[in-house]
Amino acid sequence: MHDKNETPPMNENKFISFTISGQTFCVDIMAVREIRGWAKPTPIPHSPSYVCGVINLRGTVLPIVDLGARLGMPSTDPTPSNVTIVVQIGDQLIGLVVEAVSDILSLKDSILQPTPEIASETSKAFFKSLVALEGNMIRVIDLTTLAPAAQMSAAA
Amino acid sequence: MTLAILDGMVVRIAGQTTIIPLTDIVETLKPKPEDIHYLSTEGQVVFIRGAFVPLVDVGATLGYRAPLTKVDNQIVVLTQTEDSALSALLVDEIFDQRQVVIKGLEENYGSVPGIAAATILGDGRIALILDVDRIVSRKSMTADLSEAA
Repeated sequence: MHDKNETPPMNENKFISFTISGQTFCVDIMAVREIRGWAKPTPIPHSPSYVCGVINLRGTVLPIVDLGARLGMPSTDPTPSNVTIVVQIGDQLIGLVVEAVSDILSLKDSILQPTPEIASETSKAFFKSLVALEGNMIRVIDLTTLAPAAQMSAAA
Repeated sequence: MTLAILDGMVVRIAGQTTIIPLTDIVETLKPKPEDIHYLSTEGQVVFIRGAFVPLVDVGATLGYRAPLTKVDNQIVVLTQTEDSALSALLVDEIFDQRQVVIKGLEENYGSVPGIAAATILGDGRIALILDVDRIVSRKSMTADLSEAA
């Protein structure tokens, strides 16, 4: 759990929540640059299966990652109804394809629970913590595990 | 801010719009079916003015599709770079010849074997620029891939 001496008790962070295959996830709102509609990506040769390709984001080459497939779930159908969340991880910008963005959540540090030990270490690595909210479990994604550099080494 | 510009030929490879750097291109041609010969089962060469030039199925090399079993009515772009001998790249169609602005892939993604960089086309979509040296030297491509696998 968090050290109460280090962080003020009322420390609140904002998160953007979204859904993929019926599961709810969220990422730190500070990492989100923009949310945009679907654009058809240009496929990249020899890329991991969860990389849809690259799109043009106002003159920048933006890799598009199918977040569902990245997390080991069925891949999201590339349809115009999907949404791309552009996030900044370190110096890199990547686009995450999700089914729908649902809400902005203000979460106190104290209600973030550490991800319990589960069978799959790999899927545990993606989630920083879990939140119980109105009967739902919301998974807080650790964006650093999704960085393209991490993708490349994961593919290796 | 400096922009790197490249003279390129816009082609279609396995349905994907792709740029081949003009400096690597010697000529383009449409070989007759009888000029294409097989070496055993895999390697193909094309007979051009008394010389046998290796045929490179770029679409398959980049993993866009399975290798073509029959080369028929395809267009061939003859390339030669400083480091590689004459090679014949198979393309579906040649669109245009134009200057493109080079956009790096490394910044947000990483390096891709066989791809030098990317660019943005007039319709806003991204097209990849071929790294002809890497594409034609099959040995280094397979080495890259086994490294990545």
